[in-house]
Amino acid sequence: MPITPQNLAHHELIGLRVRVAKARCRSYKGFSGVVVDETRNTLVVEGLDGKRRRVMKKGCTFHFRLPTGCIVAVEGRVLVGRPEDRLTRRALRKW
Amino acid sequence: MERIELLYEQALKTYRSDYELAQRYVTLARRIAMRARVRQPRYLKRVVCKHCKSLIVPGYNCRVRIRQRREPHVTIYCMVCKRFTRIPLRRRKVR
Repeated sequence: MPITPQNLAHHELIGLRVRVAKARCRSYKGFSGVVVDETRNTLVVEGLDGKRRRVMKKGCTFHFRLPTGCIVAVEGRVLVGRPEDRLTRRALRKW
Repeated sequence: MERIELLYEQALKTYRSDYELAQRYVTLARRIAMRARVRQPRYLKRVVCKHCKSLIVPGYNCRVRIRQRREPHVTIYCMVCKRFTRIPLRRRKVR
């Protein structure tokens, strides 16, 4: 099943291009790059300058670019959870 | 699911620059497979050491040899845990 805007929250985030669109913490905002790692509460994003930054999922809104080229805005809240735990579908569907 | 394959793909792409990150991808992929109760495809099982579950790449951190003793089989020597894995080769049917 390829990645779509509908199943993004249950799919693999590593390797996707991402931009932090909104953030409660101002220093995260506008940061963009490639997701290299993921924990329960954070994403590790490698910027274009090669620097890795850990961004909280909660409290941010992300713009993911899918391989198809379409850009999806996702609230970080729906991404909270360990990568292997995000597999199962949850009723939480707000994006 | 295809998330597993994606992760392995990423792992194989990154092992040269950052082996630990690649190893993390393998661990994640394995965890996802276990959580989803999905069998890992055979070609992916060849990429991971049976003993220490680390990513092994021929010519990088493992040796692959074909042995004829007793029965034709492939021997993979993992340089991480320094153990052998044997894969028997099925004998061809005589026509």
